[in-house]
Amino acid sequence: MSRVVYHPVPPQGNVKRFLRTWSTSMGLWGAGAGITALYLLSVTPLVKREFLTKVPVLGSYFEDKTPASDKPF
Amino acid sequence: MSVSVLAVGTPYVVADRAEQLANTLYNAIVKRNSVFVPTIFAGAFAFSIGFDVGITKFWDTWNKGKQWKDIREKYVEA
Repeated sequence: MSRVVYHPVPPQGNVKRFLRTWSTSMGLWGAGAGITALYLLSVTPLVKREFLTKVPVLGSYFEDKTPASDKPF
Repeated sequence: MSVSVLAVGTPYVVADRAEQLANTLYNAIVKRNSVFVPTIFAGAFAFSIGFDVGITKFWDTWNKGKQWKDIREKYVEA
């Protein structure tokens, strides 16, 4: 004869289960959103100047190398 | 030896190299969409930089001596 026993779950049990299931995926999507935003905004001078030039290997690609005398503004 | 997906019901049990590579790539990159989509954007980022550098180098070599940056020393008065 089987016996059914109810095991009460504290409320943080749902939170823990949600995090265990989704934290990896959320982290990966967050990193992906960062990469996407960086790619789509890489054309702006602000992102180029303040962030992309400081990346170690690729920084020199984003530097503005035109001499000052060649710039119209 | 892994079982080939293409060979269900046949006596062959070897997964060929292409299928193994395809499986590795699938499991590593395609299986999780959260990895697949950022890989595509990162690939686009890398390609845009790499292609630009490559094609610019070729263009400058092919048109050596004809562009402003090659002759500007003769005319700069600074």
